[in-house]
Amino acid sequence: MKPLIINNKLRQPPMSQERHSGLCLVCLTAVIMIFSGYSTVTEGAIQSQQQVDLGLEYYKINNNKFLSVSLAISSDDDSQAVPEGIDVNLYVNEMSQATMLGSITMERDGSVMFELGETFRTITDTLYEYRFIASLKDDERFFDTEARLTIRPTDLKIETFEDDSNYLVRATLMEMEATGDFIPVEWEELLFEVDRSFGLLTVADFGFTDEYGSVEIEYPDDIPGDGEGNIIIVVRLEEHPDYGNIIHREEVSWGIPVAIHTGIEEARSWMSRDAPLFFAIIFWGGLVAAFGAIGYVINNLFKINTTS
Amino acid sequence: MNQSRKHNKEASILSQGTFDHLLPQKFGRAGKLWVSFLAMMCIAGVIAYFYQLRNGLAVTGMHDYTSWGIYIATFVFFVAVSLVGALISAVLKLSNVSWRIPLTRIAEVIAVASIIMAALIIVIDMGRPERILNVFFYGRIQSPILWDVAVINTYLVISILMLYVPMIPDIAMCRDRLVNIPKWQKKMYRILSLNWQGDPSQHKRITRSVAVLAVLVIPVAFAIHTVTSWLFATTFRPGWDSTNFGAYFVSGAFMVGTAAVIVLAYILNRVYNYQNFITRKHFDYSGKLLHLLAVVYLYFNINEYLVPGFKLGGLEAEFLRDSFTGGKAPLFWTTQIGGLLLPIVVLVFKQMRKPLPLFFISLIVIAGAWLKRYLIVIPTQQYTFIPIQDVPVSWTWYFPTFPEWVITIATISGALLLITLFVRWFPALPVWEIKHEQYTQEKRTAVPVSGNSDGTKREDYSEENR
Repeated sequence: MKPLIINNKLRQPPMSQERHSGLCLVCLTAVIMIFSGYSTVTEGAIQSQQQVDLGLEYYKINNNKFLSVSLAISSDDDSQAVPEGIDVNLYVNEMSQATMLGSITMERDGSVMFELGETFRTITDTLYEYRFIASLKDDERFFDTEARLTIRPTDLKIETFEDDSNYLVRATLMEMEATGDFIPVEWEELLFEVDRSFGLLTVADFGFTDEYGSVEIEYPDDIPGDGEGNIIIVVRLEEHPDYGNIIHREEVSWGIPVAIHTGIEEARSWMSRDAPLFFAIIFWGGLVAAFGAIGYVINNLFKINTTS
Repeated sequence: MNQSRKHNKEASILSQGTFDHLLPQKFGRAGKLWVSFLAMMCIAGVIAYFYQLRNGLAVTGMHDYTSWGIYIATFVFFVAVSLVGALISAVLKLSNVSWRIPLTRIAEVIAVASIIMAALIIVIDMGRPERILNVFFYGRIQSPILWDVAVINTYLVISILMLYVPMIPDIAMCRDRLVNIPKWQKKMYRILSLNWQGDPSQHKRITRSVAVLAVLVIPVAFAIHTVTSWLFATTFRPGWDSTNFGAYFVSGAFMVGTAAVIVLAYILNRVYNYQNFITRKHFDYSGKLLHLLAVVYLYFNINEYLVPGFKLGGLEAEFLRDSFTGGKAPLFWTTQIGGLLLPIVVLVFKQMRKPLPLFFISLIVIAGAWLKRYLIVIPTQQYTFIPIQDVPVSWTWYFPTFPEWVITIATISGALLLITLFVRWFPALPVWEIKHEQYTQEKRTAVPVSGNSDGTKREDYSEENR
């Protein structure tokens, strides 16, 4: 086709339909590629803006050992993602199949307690140091996220004494050294408490271990117990960087028995369970009498109104 | 026939318009300003309440220790004030105390306004007010709260009837004699007057109804404040665990109610010139009544503090020390001296039973009564059997927040607004009863013009008939 000259300017002839379609197709493809690339980029950008906080804590409660795993995912804009359903692998010493303790799935609140069972005992039988590893390696979103914790095994022994209504608790804290022997741990603070319905009641201001790893505390003799006077004493080492959380719980009969009334005959108030019949009669009878009189008055008002 | 003629003559005399100025009048500038002020306070209270409803009771000062604050203190105060209706209208009526007559309607309107606000402020105190229905659906009759709900509702109905029933002839008078009033007001009088014609049978029904209500209201009035006191006394808390609470509360209630009547009577006298009806004699007698009630209340106060003070057991000792010599001492002694000892001492003197001094003394009594209820309800809650641990210190003490003050003041303003609007549209004094009383007195003192043929005296109404 000849070029069209309009007003002395050269104007290119209009495109043919084929060339037009081809150009549209190319543009469309480019748009698709751009957007897919954009979403990839942005997804990566979103990922790179997230901060993953994987936490690991060790608990020993009497002779049972636990790992507490916590996971928090936050973004730069301070929003929090729910870590529910994310799998975390746990290892001891090194990340291998042989040393894998297990895999846990995170709960909605971002924490899970994992009991260290037979596998752990088998692996760590002769070790004087536990090196725990929590890893999110299998999850593509949190590649290379892991947490490590090194714990030295400890032993917390409790002895209880009763002496003329004085109740004494001696706690001894020992740690395992490289030879496998236990040596006393000096100058560590142990907390002495009593288990209550909604928490722990502290009974001593402080209790630091001596050179033998021991500390002795007197428990009060006026703590309310259960129906038989039993209470649960709790001695714990809290959040130690080398030993973790060590808790010892023991039931003793040092409490004051609290009588629990279950029968009507033993109730403190004659109103406690079912209202006595005479009271029900008085209550409803009184209301009926009062409103009966009110009804009489209202009836009189109607009659006043209808008087001709 | 003779009886009917006698009633007709009486009705005819009573209908003559020497008491027209007792009928309701329009407010002047001061009245309109007063109503506007009260309305503004009420609107502020509504706004504060919506703020509280939206944000929860966290906007109040109530926390783990103090879950009953000034709302409950004001509730107890309103219940106390409402007892005066029973006292003036019923107790004095059944005792044939005739000077009470001009004050009966004042007492009744105070009672109705107070008990309405008492019921309202309980709902305000609830974080979830829709749960009030649970009291009726799932109520246990062992609960003092259910007793309180039942007796407050019963007393409210009785008080409204005690206000309305004797007022029917007066409303009829408004219907017949008030001119230049809006149509809605005329219609209101027409409906509320219940076709009242002054017929002997209607009189008879009114008289019987009032008598029944007068007898009924007394046990209910005693019950309402006794049961309110049991909300506290049925607990083991120091300061509340007392068998004296029922009588203690009732005696205090009569006292503050009487003071409220004196205040309103004085204001009505000044504004509407009712001195011919509420005379100095009425203030003198009311002052004596207030004095008597204050002495009785003092007796129960001594019981309330002396007995636990003698034993000084456990938390009770701490509570009493705090009240008498500790942090609560200034408020405690202000209440006891100003609201109780002062009226006992000064009302002995006749000069102090004149209207103006009695008005100020009554205001002090009312203020002292509210502070007393504050001292009864709130400090006790600071002494707990299981102390709270590891919480901010502010959770363990209480001071009302701004929304609480606004709402509380709004409820008091609401009660005053109800009374003010009542006075605007209805006779504040019982016209028919005053007329009847005057007529009865004149009959007793009338000198016969000539005797009857059988030698009995013939009564002469020539003065009225002129």
